[in-house]
Amino acid sequence: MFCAGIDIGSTITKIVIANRNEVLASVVQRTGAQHRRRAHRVMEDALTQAGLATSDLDYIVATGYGRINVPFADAQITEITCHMRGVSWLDPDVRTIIDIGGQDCKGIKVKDGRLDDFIMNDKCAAGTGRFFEIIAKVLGIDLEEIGPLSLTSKNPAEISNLCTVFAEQEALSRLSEGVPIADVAAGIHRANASRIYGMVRKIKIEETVAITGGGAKNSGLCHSLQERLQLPVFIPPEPLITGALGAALIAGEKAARVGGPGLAALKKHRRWDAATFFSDSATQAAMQPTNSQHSHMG
Amino acid sequence: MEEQNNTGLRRAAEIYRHRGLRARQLKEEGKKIFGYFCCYPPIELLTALDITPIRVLGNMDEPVTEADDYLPPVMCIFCRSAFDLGMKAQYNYFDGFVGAHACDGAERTSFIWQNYIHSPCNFQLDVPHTAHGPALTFFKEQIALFQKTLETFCGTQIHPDDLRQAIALHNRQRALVRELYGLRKPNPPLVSGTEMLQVLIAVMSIPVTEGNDLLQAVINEVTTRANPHAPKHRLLIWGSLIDHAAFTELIESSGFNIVVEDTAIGTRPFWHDIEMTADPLDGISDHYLNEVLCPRTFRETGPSYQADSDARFNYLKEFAKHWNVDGVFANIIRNCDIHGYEVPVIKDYLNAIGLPVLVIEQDYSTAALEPLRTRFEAFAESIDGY
Amino acid sequence: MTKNKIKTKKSNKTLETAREAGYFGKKMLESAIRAQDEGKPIGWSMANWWEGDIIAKAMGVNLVYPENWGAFCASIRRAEPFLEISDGEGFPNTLCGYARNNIGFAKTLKENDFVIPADAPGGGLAKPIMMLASGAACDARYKWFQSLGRYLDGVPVWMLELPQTGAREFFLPENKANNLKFIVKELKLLIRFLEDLLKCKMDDAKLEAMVDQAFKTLGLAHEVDLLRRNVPSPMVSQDFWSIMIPHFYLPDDPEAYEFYQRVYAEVKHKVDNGIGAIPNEKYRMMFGELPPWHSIGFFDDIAERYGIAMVMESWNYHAPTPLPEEEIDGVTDPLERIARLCYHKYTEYNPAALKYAVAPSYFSAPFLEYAEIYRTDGFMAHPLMSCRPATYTLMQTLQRLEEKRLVPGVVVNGDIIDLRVFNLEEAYSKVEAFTETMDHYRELRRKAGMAW
Repeated sequence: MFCAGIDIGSTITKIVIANRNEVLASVVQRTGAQHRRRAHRVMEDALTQAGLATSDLDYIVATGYGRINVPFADAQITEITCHMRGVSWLDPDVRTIIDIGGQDCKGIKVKDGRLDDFIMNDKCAAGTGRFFEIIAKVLGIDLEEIGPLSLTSKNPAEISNLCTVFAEQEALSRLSEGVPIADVAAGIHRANASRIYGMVRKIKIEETVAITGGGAKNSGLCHSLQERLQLPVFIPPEPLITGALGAALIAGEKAARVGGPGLAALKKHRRWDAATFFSDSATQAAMQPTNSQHSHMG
Repeated sequence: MEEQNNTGLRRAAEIYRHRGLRARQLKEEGKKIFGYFCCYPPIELLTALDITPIRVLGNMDEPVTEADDYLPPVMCIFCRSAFDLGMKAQYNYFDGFVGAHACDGAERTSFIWQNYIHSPCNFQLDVPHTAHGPALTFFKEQIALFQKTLETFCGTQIHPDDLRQAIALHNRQRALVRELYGLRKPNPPLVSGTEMLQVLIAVMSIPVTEGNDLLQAVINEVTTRANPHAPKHRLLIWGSLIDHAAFTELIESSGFNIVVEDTAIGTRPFWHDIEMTADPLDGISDHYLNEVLCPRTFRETGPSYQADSDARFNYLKEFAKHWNVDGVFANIIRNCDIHGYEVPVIKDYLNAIGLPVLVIEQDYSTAALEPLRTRFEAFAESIDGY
Repeated sequence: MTKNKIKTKKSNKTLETAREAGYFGKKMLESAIRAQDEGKPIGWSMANWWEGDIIAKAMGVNLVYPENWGAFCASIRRAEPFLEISDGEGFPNTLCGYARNNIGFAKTLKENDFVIPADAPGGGLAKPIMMLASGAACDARYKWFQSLGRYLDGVPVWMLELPQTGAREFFLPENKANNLKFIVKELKLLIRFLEDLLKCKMDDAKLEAMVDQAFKTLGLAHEVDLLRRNVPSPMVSQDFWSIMIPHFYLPDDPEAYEFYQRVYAEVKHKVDNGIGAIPNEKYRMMFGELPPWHSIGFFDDIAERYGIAMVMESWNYHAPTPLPEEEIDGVTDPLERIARLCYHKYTEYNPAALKYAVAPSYFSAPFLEYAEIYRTDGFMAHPLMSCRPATYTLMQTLQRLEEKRLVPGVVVNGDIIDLRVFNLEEAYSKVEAFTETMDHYRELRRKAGMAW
């Protein structure tokens, strides 16, 4: 049984194709604003990698920010549930997941392999990939460099304000005071780690903690977070695909439940045209530079 | 008004969409219209004088522009919105305004409202913070002053029989609202949260008799139509009010049917009838101080945290049981202190009785709603057992 | 949380006596800790304008004030860890900074088996046997104590009522009598609550003596306020924020009275000799609501740079004008006297509230009177991100001052505790530009024939 999970994030599309519990393909592609409608092309790449045709897929679960109108998906599941599922499958001991995406940041609690609690911030850039992109630009370095560079600092600079505009100003004024770039970068990572930690602790952090999303690829941020957490941290080998992986696993469960004849009917109605999932109002709303909108459950 | 069985909900939606329309018509007919803040002013006194009470609400869909010079953004954003509408003359048909010390936001905004938006008659109702015996006496005296203010303004005395009749009419309204709530007990509920919101805001925007006719029409309609709603997770909403259907629509398209709203537009004004006491003001003051259950009123602490929580939130357990609730959404309009301080307590209490709680501090703006969808869907998935 | 880089020094108090005032804050905290060691009852109390705290003290409860302690924690920059704990507990971070500070501390205290951590700021707050909440001025001040039940399980909260009548309603017949009757009855309930809790009787003679003392101290504190009408101003807000502690929290303490005698003498001496608190007083300003406790040095800087003397602060923290003779003559019952004092405090500016359309009588209307009494040139509004009750009416006060008294205002955003919004550089540039506005309005007042 072939199943796919497609995770359409704000900046990156991730696809995992699995045969029961065996991963056949995983694809990660940038899907900036202009490329968002190309989800089906990314899927074609993944299918090629897996050596499958579109008609081979028994069940497809879409997740992520852009999950809503993926025309070829059979079900939509939130990225919160999918990350939880993907990470649990990789390491069943994980209780707390910190997912740092391009536009948002989430804390997810797992209990007995099920979603127990979550909290998310998607209104404030602090603690998200967007923030680091802006700061890297200010520091005049590549996004990939900012983390490793910060690790060379012996004396992190004080950064007091994480509102993007102010942080930019503050970073600039530290630089003009002659503070080394590495120290400014380290200060920025520290301040962001504090912010993320402050949010996630609302759902009661328990070990093992996993870090996923683009943030997990930033060694400086992981280091600062670990400093705050004082707990062992698990970083999946492919931290970007845990959502898509979870979606593929859930697709597998759903396919098993639906069974043969039902799946055949599903396939017949699948549409492989371009996705149109970003309504202008929703995109604008997510970009509003107001207070962070926190929520949590328990 | 003429009624047809199948038009109740449509009419409610119309009135909801054009909240001031009926009031303006009545005003043209020479009737008096009063605006009031929150669910504490005793509107029975207004009805007894043939004044139509109109609940002052905000509009999540309207950007706040005029209120900025008076209420800074860190103030209650619902109050900012309501005042903004006032400054934009959307409530300019009021003959009177009744402010109330429901909470800091309502109290201060009521003062500022009276300072800048002039109505011929004004009253500021001081609502005690406790239900102590002396507080009840004091509150009754406050209501008596309110009555005198109204009588002076209208140039007529309220006849006790008229007041009793007004109480009966409003009690009838409360009973009809509760009956409608009862129709949300089946699965799927016969009335959606969006429909309920439209009906309740409609009855707060028209005279009580018309509201009662509307409620009756809605009840007839929903009990006879083919139920259009599908079974979903059953949600109780606790906390700050919701006064825009865009919000309930978002929730109900994210895996939930809203079945109870313990808010100032939901159950709170309607759950208890005013007792017909020899002096009608006794029943009125008891109802508004003791029986409107908003955490703005301090109820005595019990001997322990647990006992205190039980005493304060036991009614939520009853709601959960009778409406077969699967989960609770704690809705906090940002900067609502009254509900904000309760968040950890309400979570402790509801989790202990097996109910998951989704807490969201939101910005009271339709533009900021869509990003909340993931939270509701993830909450639904967690109830699904994912 | 990272520390804010505000490079201000601690404030310079201009009065010798203001430098002594820290003693009273320490005295409150230390006496509670001593009481804990001696097994005596401790209470946490909200400031309540002398309504109920005197009664609790007369019953032998040692009171500490978490609001005051919160300001202290902020001033030494020790609040942040407590704020983080409160946020982690799920309390919104938009709540009152004092509350978040206290909630964070209460959780720490509970986790430490109610032994105060050795490094607690100012020695910390000892575990109470009761909490005295207040409904006056602000909802936080009862919701916050109520929410502490999670950490102080079984510690009862008493909710002290103080009615807040509207400006028009103040003038309605019967309303005053109703208000006074209500306050007195509530005070009797408080006494009954305390007697049940402490298993002892109120000592009426002791209460009477304490109320006497409080009236005397408050009267003297008001006399000091009156001296501030003089030009140049003999003292400024930097002094007031220190000297207010004894009259606001300890007016029943004879030491507080003696202290005010010294304050009065010092301020009077400066008045008599024409000595201003700041060397070149060019502008006299009022300050709207609570200050940024973490950055009080800001006021010294604007005094030095622009010659700005902060000559008056919010109504909130000041002693009321003395009760008129006819209000208090022959009134001997201490509860009745307390009731009249508090009612007077909350309602005395109602005529101004109506005259200038700036209700309520608390927070907003007094500034319209102060404008003239203290001959002010400007109003600094400090909207607080975490204190809504003190901020709701700030903008209307600013507008009405400009419109009705030709006293312009400037807005400087900040908070009592939270460091996130106060931007020192921005504040300086705003104030610098504002001096020209004050010059302009001074001219307007002169043309309008106003008295100052």
